[in-house]
Amino acid sequence: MSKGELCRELFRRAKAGFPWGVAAVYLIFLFGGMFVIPAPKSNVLPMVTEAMAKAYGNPVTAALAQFFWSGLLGAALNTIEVPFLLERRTLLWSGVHFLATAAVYSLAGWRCRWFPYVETWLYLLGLLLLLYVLKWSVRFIEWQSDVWAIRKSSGLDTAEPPWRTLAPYLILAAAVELLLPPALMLVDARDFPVLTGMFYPFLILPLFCFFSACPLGTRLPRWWLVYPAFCMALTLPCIALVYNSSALFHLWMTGIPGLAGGLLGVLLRRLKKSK
Amino acid sequence: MKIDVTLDPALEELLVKVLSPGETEELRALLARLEKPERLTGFREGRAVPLDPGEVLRFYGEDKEVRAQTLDGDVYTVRLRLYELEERLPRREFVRVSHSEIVNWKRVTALDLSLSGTIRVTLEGGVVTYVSRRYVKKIKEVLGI
Repeated sequence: MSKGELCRELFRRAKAGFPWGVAAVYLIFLFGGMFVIPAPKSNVLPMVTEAMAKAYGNPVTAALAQFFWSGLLGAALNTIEVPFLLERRTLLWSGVHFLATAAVYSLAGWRCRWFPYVETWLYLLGLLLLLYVLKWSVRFIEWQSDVWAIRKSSGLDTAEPPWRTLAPYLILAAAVELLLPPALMLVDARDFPVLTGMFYPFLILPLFCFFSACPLGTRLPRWWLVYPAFCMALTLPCIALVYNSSALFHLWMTGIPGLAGGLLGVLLRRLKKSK
Repeated sequence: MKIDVTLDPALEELLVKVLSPGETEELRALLARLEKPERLTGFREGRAVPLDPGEVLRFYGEDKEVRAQTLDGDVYTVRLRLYELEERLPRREFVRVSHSEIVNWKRVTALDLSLSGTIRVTLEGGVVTYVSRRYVKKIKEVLGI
Protein backbone atom coordinates (compact mmCIF):
# COMPACT_ATOMS: atom_id res chain seq x y z
CA MET A 1 0.00 0.00 0.00
CA SER A 2 1.43 3.36 -1.04
CA LYS A 3 1.83 6.27 1.37
CA GLY A 4 -1.02 8.15 -0.32
CA GLU A 5 -3.37 5.16 -0.04
CA LEU A 6 -2.38 4.69 3.59
CA CYS A 7 -3.06 8.35 4.43
CA ARG A 8 -6.45 8.16 2.71
CA GLU A 9 -7.30 5.00 4.66
CA LEU A 10 -6.18 6.62 7.89
CA PHE A 11 -8.34 9.68 7.22
CA ARG A 12 -11.33 7.56 6.17
CA ARG A 13 -11.22 5.49 9.35
CA ALA A 14 -10.64 8.54 11.55
CA LYS A 15 -13.65 10.26 9.98
CA ALA A 16 -15.79 7.18 10.61
CA GLY A 17 -14.53 6.87 14.18
CA PHE A 18 -15.27 10.47 15.21
CA PRO A 19 -19.08 10.06 15.63
CA TRP A 20 -18.55 6.69 17.35
CA GLY A 21 -16.28 8.33 19.91
CA VAL A 22 -18.83 11.08 20.59
CA ALA A 23 -21.65 8.55 20.88
CA ALA A 24 -19.66 6.22 23.17
CA VAL A 25 -18.70 8.98 25.63
CA TYR A 26 -22.24 10.37 25.80
CA LEU A 27 -23.66 6.88 26.24
CA ILE A 28 -21.25 6.25 29.12
CA PHE A 29 -22.46 9.45 30.77
CA LEU A 30 -26.08 8.59 30.06
CA PHE A 31 -25.92 5.05 31.46
CA GLY A 32 -23.50 5.98 34.20
CA GLY A 33 -25.86 8.75 35.36
CA MET A 34 -28.82 6.37 35.46
CA PHE A 35 -27.18 4.17 38.06
CA VAL A 36 -25.89 6.87 40.39
CA ILE A 37 -26.94 6.22 43.99
CA PRO A 38 -28.52 8.38 45.40
CA ALA A 39 -30.29 9.50 42.18
CA PRO A 40 -29.67 13.14 41.22
CA LYS A 41 -32.44 15.50 42.36
CA SER A 42 -32.93 17.15 38.96
CA ASN A 43 -34.51 15.20 36.08
CA VAL A 44 -31.68 16.16 33.72
CA LEU A 45 -28.90 13.62 33.42
CA PRO A 46 -25.43 15.22 33.42
CA MET A 47 -23.57 14.88 30.09
CA VAL A 48 -20.30 16.34 31.36
CA THR A 49 -18.57 16.08 34.72
CA GLU A 50 -19.34 18.74 37.30
CA ALA A 51 -15.68 19.77 37.37
CA MET A 52 -15.69 20.27 33.60
CA ALA A 53 -18.88 22.35 33.63
CA LYS A 54 -17.32 24.52 36.33
CA ALA A 55 -14.03 24.90 34.45
CA TYR A 56 -15.72 25.91 31.18
CA GLY A 57 -18.17 28.32 32.80
CA ASN A 58 -21.35 26.61 31.59
CA PRO A 59 -22.39 23.04 30.70
CA VAL A 60 -23.12 23.82 27.02
CA THR A 61 -19.57 25.04 26.27
CA ALA A 62 -18.26 22.09 28.27
CA ALA A 63 -20.44 19.67 26.25
CA LEU A 64 -19.15 21.18 22.99
CA ALA A 65 -15.53 20.79 24.13
CA GLN A 66 -16.25 17.22 25.17
CA PHE A 67 -17.84 16.60 21.76
CA PHE A 68 -14.54 17.52 20.12
CA TRP A 69 -12.29 15.53 22.47
CA SER A 70 -14.42 12.39 22.55
CA GLY A 71 -14.68 12.49 18.75
CA LEU A 72 -10.92 12.79 18.48
CA LEU A 73 -10.49 9.81 20.80
CA GLY A 74 -12.96 7.79 18.70
CA ALA A 75 -11.06 8.78 15.54
CA ALA A 76 -7.75 7.65 17.05
CA LEU A 77 -9.20 4.34 18.25
CA ASN A 78 -10.86 3.58 14.93
CA THR A 79 -7.49 3.73 13.17
CA ILE A 80 -6.03 0.98 15.40
CA GLU A 81 -6.03 -1.43 12.42
CA VAL A 82 -4.07 0.87 10.09
CA PRO A 83 -0.57 -0.28 11.18
CA PHE A 84 -1.58 -3.83 10.21
CA LEU A 85 -1.95 -2.66 6.62
CA LEU A 86 1.79 -2.01 6.53
CA GLU A 87 4.05 -4.79 5.30
CA ARG A 88 7.04 -3.99 7.48
CA ARG A 89 7.61 -2.64 11.00
CA THR A 90 3.99 -3.36 11.93
CA LEU A 91 4.90 -3.83 15.59
CA LEU A 92 6.80 -0.55 15.70
CA TRP A 93 3.95 1.40 14.07
CA SER A 94 1.41 -0.27 16.36
CA GLY A 95 3.50 0.98 19.28
CA VAL A 96 3.59 4.48 17.79
CA HIS A 97 -0.16 4.32 17.29
CA PHE A 98 -0.64 3.30 20.92
CA LEU A 99 1.46 6.24 22.10
CA ALA A 100 -0.52 8.64 19.91
CA THR A 101 -3.86 7.25 21.15
CA ALA A 102 -2.61 7.36 24.76
CA ALA A 103 -1.68 11.02 24.26
CA VAL A 104 -5.12 11.84 22.81
CA TYR A 105 -6.81 9.88 25.62
CA SER A 106 -4.75 11.65 28.31
CA LEU A 107 -5.33 15.10 26.80
CA ALA A 108 -9.04 14.44 26.35
CA GLY A 109 -9.32 13.16 29.92
CA TRP A 110 -7.46 16.15 31.28
CA ARG A 111 -9.45 18.74 29.29
CA CYS A 112 -12.78 17.03 30.04
CA ARG A 113 -11.93 16.34 33.71
CA TRP A 114 -12.78 12.65 33.31
CA PHE A 115 -10.27 11.42 35.86
CA PRO A 116 -10.88 12.37 39.47
CA TYR A 117 -7.71 10.53 40.53
CA VAL A 118 -4.38 9.78 38.90
CA GLU A 119 -5.07 6.08 39.53
CA THR A 120 -8.22 6.24 37.35
CA TRP A 121 -6.15 7.61 34.48
CA LEU A 122 -3.46 4.99 34.98
CA TYR A 123 -5.88 2.07 35.19
CA LEU A 124 -7.73 3.15 32.05
CA LEU A 125 -4.40 3.65 30.31
CA GLY A 126 -3.52 0.08 31.29
CA LEU A 127 -6.81 -1.13 29.79
CA LEU A 128 -5.98 0.75 26.59
CA LEU A 129 -2.60 -0.98 26.48
CA LEU A 130 -4.29 -4.32 27.08
CA LEU A 131 -6.63 -3.61 24.14
CA TYR A 132 -3.61 -3.11 21.88
CA VAL A 133 -1.86 -6.21 23.19
CA LEU A 134 -4.97 -8.33 22.65
CA LYS A 135 -5.48 -6.89 19.19
CA TRP A 136 -1.92 -7.82 18.36
CA SER A 137 -2.26 -11.31 19.86
CA VAL A 138 -5.40 -12.06 17.86
CA ARG A 139 -3.72 -10.87 14.66
CA PHE A 140 -0.65 -12.93 15.42
CA ILE A 141 -2.74 -16.06 15.92
CA GLU A 142 -4.46 -15.42 12.57
CA TRP A 143 -1.14 -15.00 10.76
CA GLN A 144 0.32 -18.07 12.45
CA SER A 145 -2.66 -20.21 11.48
CA ASP A 146 -2.25 -19.05 7.85
CA VAL A 147 1.46 -19.86 7.89
CA TRP A 148 0.78 -23.24 9.48
CA ALA A 149 -1.85 -24.09 6.83
CA ILE A 150 0.53 -23.11 4.00
CA ARG A 151 3.34 -25.11 5.59
CA LYS A 152 1.13 -28.17 5.92
CA SER A 153 -0.14 -27.89 2.37
CA SER A 154 3.43 -27.50 1.04
CA GLY A 155 4.69 -30.46 3.07
CA LEU A 156 7.20 -28.25 4.84
CA ASP A 157 6.55 -28.86 8.48
CA THR A 158 3.99 -31.11 10.06
CA ALA A 159 4.87 -30.25 13.64
CA GLU A 160 1.98 -29.65 16.03
CA PRO A 161 0.55 -26.15 15.62
CA PRO A 162 1.46 -23.83 18.52
CA TRP A 163 -2.11 -23.18 19.59
CA ARG A 164 -2.51 -26.87 20.43
CA THR A 165 0.30 -26.51 22.95
CA LEU A 166 -1.15 -23.23 24.14
CA ALA A 167 -4.77 -24.42 24.48
CA PRO A 168 -4.43 -26.46 27.73
CA TYR A 169 -2.66 -23.54 29.41
CA LEU A 170 -5.43 -21.17 28.36
CA ILE A 171 -8.11 -23.57 29.59
CA LEU A 172 -6.34 -23.86 32.93
CA ALA A 173 -5.92 -20.08 33.15
CA ALA A 174 -9.62 -19.63 32.35
CA ALA A 175 -10.55 -22.09 35.11
CA VAL A 176 -8.31 -20.36 37.68
CA GLU A 177 -9.29 -16.83 36.75
CA LEU A 178 -12.97 -17.29 35.99
CA LEU A 179 -14.09 -20.05 38.33
CA LEU A 180 -11.82 -19.77 41.33
CA PRO A 181 -12.81 -16.27 42.58
CA PRO A 182 -16.58 -17.04 42.75
CA ALA A 183 -15.76 -20.41 44.39
CA LEU A 184 -13.52 -18.74 46.96
CA MET A 185 -16.21 -16.13 47.59
CA LEU A 186 -18.60 -18.89 48.68
CA VAL A 187 -16.30 -20.06 51.45
CA ASP A 188 -14.79 -16.68 52.32
CA ALA A 189 -15.49 -14.81 55.55
CA ARG A 190 -18.08 -12.02 55.16
CA ASP A 191 -16.45 -9.51 57.46
CA PHE A 192 -12.88 -9.91 56.25
CA PRO A 193 -12.57 -11.74 52.90
CA VAL A 194 -9.03 -13.06 53.24
CA LEU A 195 -9.30 -15.60 50.42
CA THR A 196 -10.68 -13.33 47.68
CA GLY A 197 -9.13 -10.12 48.99
CA MET A 198 -5.60 -11.25 49.76
CA PHE A 199 -4.91 -14.93 49.18
CA TYR A 200 -6.20 -14.99 45.59
CA PRO A 201 -4.78 -11.74 44.13
CA PHE A 202 -1.46 -11.67 45.97
CA LEU A 203 -0.58 -15.34 46.09
CA ILE A 204 -2.58 -17.60 43.76
CA LEU A 205 -2.74 -15.30 40.72
CA PRO A 206 0.94 -14.28 40.49
CA LEU A 207 2.25 -17.73 41.34
CA PHE A 208 -0.09 -19.44 38.90
CA CYS A 209 0.77 -17.03 36.07
CA PHE A 210 4.49 -17.24 36.74
CA PHE A 211 4.71 -21.02 36.92
CA SER A 212 2.34 -21.66 34.00
CA ALA A 213 4.11 -19.16 31.72
CA CYS A 214 7.53 -20.65 32.49
CA PRO A 215 7.07 -23.98 30.59
CA LEU A 216 5.37 -22.09 27.76
CA GLY A 217 8.44 -19.88 27.42
CA THR A 218 10.51 -23.06 27.13
CA ARG A 219 8.22 -24.83 24.68
CA LEU A 220 6.88 -22.08 22.46
CA PRO A 221 9.35 -19.51 21.18
CA ARG A 222 7.58 -16.16 20.55
CA TRP A 223 4.12 -17.65 21.14
CA TRP A 224 4.43 -17.55 24.91
CA LEU A 225 4.03 -13.74 24.68
CA VAL A 226 0.37 -14.25 23.82
CA TYR A 227 -0.22 -16.00 27.15
CA PRO A 228 0.29 -13.09 29.62
CA ALA A 229 -2.02 -10.92 27.47
CA PHE A 230 -4.77 -13.54 27.64
CA CYS A 231 -4.19 -14.03 31.37
CA MET A 232 -4.69 -10.29 31.84
CA ALA A 233 -7.85 -10.26 29.75
CA LEU A 234 -9.24 -13.25 31.67
CA THR A 235 -9.19 -11.28 34.93
CA LEU A 236 -11.65 -8.70 33.56
CA PRO A 237 -14.92 -10.70 33.87
CA CYS A 238 -14.30 -11.42 37.57
CA ILE A 239 -13.23 -7.83 38.24
CA ALA A 240 -16.59 -6.74 36.82
CA LEU A 241 -18.72 -9.46 38.42
CA VAL A 242 -17.04 -10.47 41.67
CA TYR A 243 -14.92 -7.44 42.57
CA ASN A 244 -15.09 -3.82 41.44
CA SER A 245 -12.79 -1.31 39.74
CA SER A 246 -10.52 -1.27 42.81
CA ALA A 247 -9.44 -4.79 41.78
CA LEU A 248 -8.03 -3.64 38.44
CA PHE A 249 -4.58 -4.24 39.89
CA HIS A 250 -5.29 -7.95 39.18
CA LEU A 251 -4.32 -7.12 35.61
CA TRP A 252 -0.74 -6.44 36.67
CA MET A 253 -0.74 -9.30 39.17
CA THR A 254 -1.22 -11.61 36.17
CA GLY A 255 0.59 -9.75 33.40
CA ILE A 256 3.89 -9.07 35.16
CA PRO A 257 4.41 -12.57 36.66
CA GLY A 258 3.27 -14.07 33.33
CA LEU A 259 5.93 -12.08 31.47
CA ALA A 260 8.57 -12.87 34.09
CA GLY A 261 7.74 -16.61 33.98
CA GLY A 262 7.85 -16.65 30.18
CA LEU A 263 11.20 -14.84 30.16
CA LEU A 264 12.59 -17.34 32.65
CA GLY A 265 11.39 -20.14 30.37
CA VAL A 266 13.14 -18.53 27.37
CA LEU A 267 16.31 -18.17 29.44
CA LEU A 268 16.18 -21.82 30.50
CA ARG A 269 15.66 -22.92 26.91
CA ARG A 270 18.68 -20.91 25.75
CA LEU A 271 20.82 -22.28 28.57
CA LYS A 272 19.81 -25.82 27.65
CA LYS A 273 20.57 -25.14 23.99
CA SER A 274 24.00 -23.69 24.71
CA LYS A 275 24.92 -26.77 26.77
CA MET B 1 -3.70 -37.62 -29.83
CA LYS B 2 -1.22 -39.65 -31.89
CA ILE B 3 2.41 -38.60 -32.08
CA ASP B 4 4.47 -39.41 -35.15
CA VAL B 5 8.13 -38.40 -35.12
CA THR B 6 10.13 -38.46 -38.36
CA LEU B 7 13.89 -37.92 -38.27
CA ASP B 8 15.11 -36.18 -41.41
CA PRO B 9 18.84 -35.25 -41.56
CA ALA B 10 18.14 -33.05 -44.56
CA LEU B 11 16.23 -30.54 -42.44
CA GLU B 12 18.15 -27.48 -41.23
CA GLU B 13 15.92 -26.80 -38.24
CA LEU B 14 13.10 -28.43 -36.29
CA LEU B 15 9.86 -28.56 -38.25
CA VAL B 16 6.58 -29.33 -36.54
CA LYS B 17 3.64 -30.21 -38.74
CA VAL B 18 0.28 -30.66 -37.00
CA LEU B 19 -2.50 -32.65 -38.66
CA SER B 20 -5.99 -32.20 -37.25
CA PRO B 21 -9.55 -33.13 -38.31
CA GLY B 22 -10.72 -29.60 -37.42
CA GLU B 23 -10.05 -26.51 -35.32
CA THR B 24 -10.52 -28.10 -31.90
CA GLU B 25 -9.69 -26.88 -28.34
CA GLU B 26 -6.96 -29.49 -28.10
CA LEU B 27 -5.36 -28.15 -31.30
CA ARG B 28 -5.47 -24.57 -30.03
CA ALA B 29 -3.87 -25.59 -26.71
CA LEU B 30 -1.15 -27.52 -28.51
CA LEU B 31 -0.38 -24.60 -30.83
CA ALA B 32 -0.27 -22.22 -27.88
CA ARG B 33 2.26 -24.47 -26.14
CA LEU B 34 4.39 -24.75 -29.28
CA GLU B 35 4.35 -20.99 -29.77
CA LYS B 36 5.12 -20.26 -26.14
CA PRO B 37 7.72 -22.75 -25.03
CA GLU B 38 8.20 -23.07 -21.27
CA ARG B 39 11.91 -22.42 -21.49
CA LEU B 40 12.86 -18.88 -20.74
CA THR B 41 15.76 -16.80 -21.85
CA GLY B 42 17.92 -15.07 -19.29
CA PHE B 43 20.39 -12.33 -20.12
CA ARG B 44 23.66 -11.80 -18.30
CA GLU B 45 26.71 -9.78 -19.28
CA GLY B 46 25.50 -9.51 -22.88
CA ARG B 47 24.89 -13.25 -23.19
CA ALA B 48 21.54 -14.93 -23.71
CA VAL B 49 21.19 -18.16 -21.73
CA PRO B 50 18.26 -20.61 -21.87
CA LEU B 51 16.76 -20.98 -18.41
CA ASP B 52 14.96 -24.03 -17.12
CA PRO B 53 12.18 -22.65 -14.89
CA GLY B 54 12.59 -25.60 -12.55
CA GLU B 55 16.12 -24.42 -11.81
CA VAL B 56 15.00 -20.87 -10.99
CA LEU B 57 14.52 -20.05 -7.31
CA ARG B 58 12.69 -16.80 -7.77
CA PHE B 59 11.80 -14.03 -10.18
CA TYR B 60 11.85 -10.54 -8.75
CA GLY B 61 11.66 -6.93 -9.83
CA GLU B 62 14.79 -4.83 -9.51
CA ASP B 63 15.70 -1.52 -11.16
CA LYS B 64 12.56 -1.67 -13.32
CA GLU B 65 13.66 -5.06 -14.69
CA VAL B 66 12.77 -8.65 -13.88
CA ARG B 67 15.54 -10.84 -12.55
CA ALA B 68 15.71 -14.61 -12.19
CA GLN B 69 17.86 -16.10 -9.45
CA THR B 70 18.89 -19.67 -10.16
CA LEU B 71 19.82 -22.53 -7.87
CA ASP B 72 23.54 -21.89 -8.30
CA GLY B 73 23.09 -18.30 -7.19
CA ASP B 74 23.41 -16.65 -10.62
CA VAL B 75 21.11 -13.76 -11.41
CA TYR B 76 19.77 -13.22 -14.95
CA THR B 77 17.57 -10.55 -16.45
CA VAL B 78 14.35 -11.86 -17.97
CA ARG B 79 12.64 -9.78 -20.64
CA LEU B 80 9.16 -10.57 -19.46
CA ARG B 81 6.94 -8.82 -16.92
CA LEU B 82 6.10 -10.58 -13.68
CA TYR B 83 2.44 -10.92 -14.68
CA GLU B 84 3.52 -12.53 -17.98
CA LEU B 85 5.70 -15.00 -16.10
CA GLU B 86 2.81 -15.68 -13.74
CA GLU B 87 0.61 -16.56 -16.74
CA ARG B 88 3.24 -18.63 -18.46
CA LEU B 89 4.63 -20.67 -15.56
CA PRO B 90 2.79 -23.53 -13.78
CA ARG B 91 0.47 -21.90 -11.23
CA ARG B 92 1.03 -24.28 -8.32
CA GLU B 93 4.76 -24.30 -8.81
CA PHE B 94 5.45 -20.60 -9.19
CA VAL B 95 3.62 -18.55 -6.61
CA ARG B 96 3.38 -14.77 -6.51
CA VAL B 97 4.40 -13.83 -2.95
CA SER B 98 4.44 -10.06 -3.29
CA HIS B 99 3.94 -7.23 -5.73
CA SER B 100 7.50 -7.68 -6.99
CA GLU B 101 8.28 -11.37 -6.61
CA ILE B 102 7.38 -14.88 -7.79
CA VAL B 103 8.84 -17.82 -5.90
CA ASN B 104 9.45 -21.38 -7.07
CA TRP B 105 7.39 -23.08 -4.37
CA LYS B 106 9.08 -26.46 -4.96
CA ARG B 107 12.32 -24.87 -3.76
CA VAL B 108 10.93 -23.53 -0.50
CA THR B 109 12.57 -25.13 2.53
CA ALA B 110 11.03 -23.13 5.38
CA LEU B 111 8.28 -20.67 6.13
CA ASP B 112 8.42 -18.63 9.34
CA LEU B 113 6.46 -15.88 11.00
CA SER B 114 8.37 -13.26 12.93
CA LEU B 115 6.95 -11.55 16.02
CA SER B 116 6.46 -8.39 14.00
CA GLY B 117 4.19 -10.32 11.62
CA THR B 118 6.59 -10.67 8.69
CA ILE B 119 6.37 -14.00 6.84
CA ARG B 120 9.83 -15.18 5.87
CA VAL B 121 10.41 -17.72 3.11
CA THR B 122 13.68 -19.64 2.97
CA LEU B 123 14.60 -21.14 -0.37
CA GLU B 124 17.20 -23.75 -1.24
CA GLY B 125 20.71 -22.47 -0.73
CA GLY B 126 19.58 -20.31 2.19
CA VAL B 127 18.08 -17.59 -0.02
CA VAL B 128 15.63 -15.59 2.10
CA THR B 129 12.69 -13.56 0.90
CA TYR B 130 9.44 -12.20 2.37
CA VAL B 131 5.76 -12.82 1.70
CA SER B 132 3.46 -9.86 1.52
CA ARG B 133 0.56 -10.39 3.93
CA ARG B 134 -1.80 -9.13 1.24
CA TYR B 135 -0.80 -12.09 -0.94
CA VAL B 136 -1.41 -14.75 1.73
CA LYS B 137 -5.04 -15.26 0.68
CA LYS B 138 -3.96 -15.68 -2.94
CA ILE B 139 -1.21 -18.15 -1.97
CA LYS B 140 -3.74 -20.20 -0.01
CA GLU B 141 -6.03 -20.25 -3.03
CA VAL B 142 -3.22 -21.36 -5.35
CA LEU B 143 -2.24 -24.14 -2.95
CA GLY B 144 -5.87 -25.20 -2.67
CA ILE B 145 -6.29 -24.40 1.03
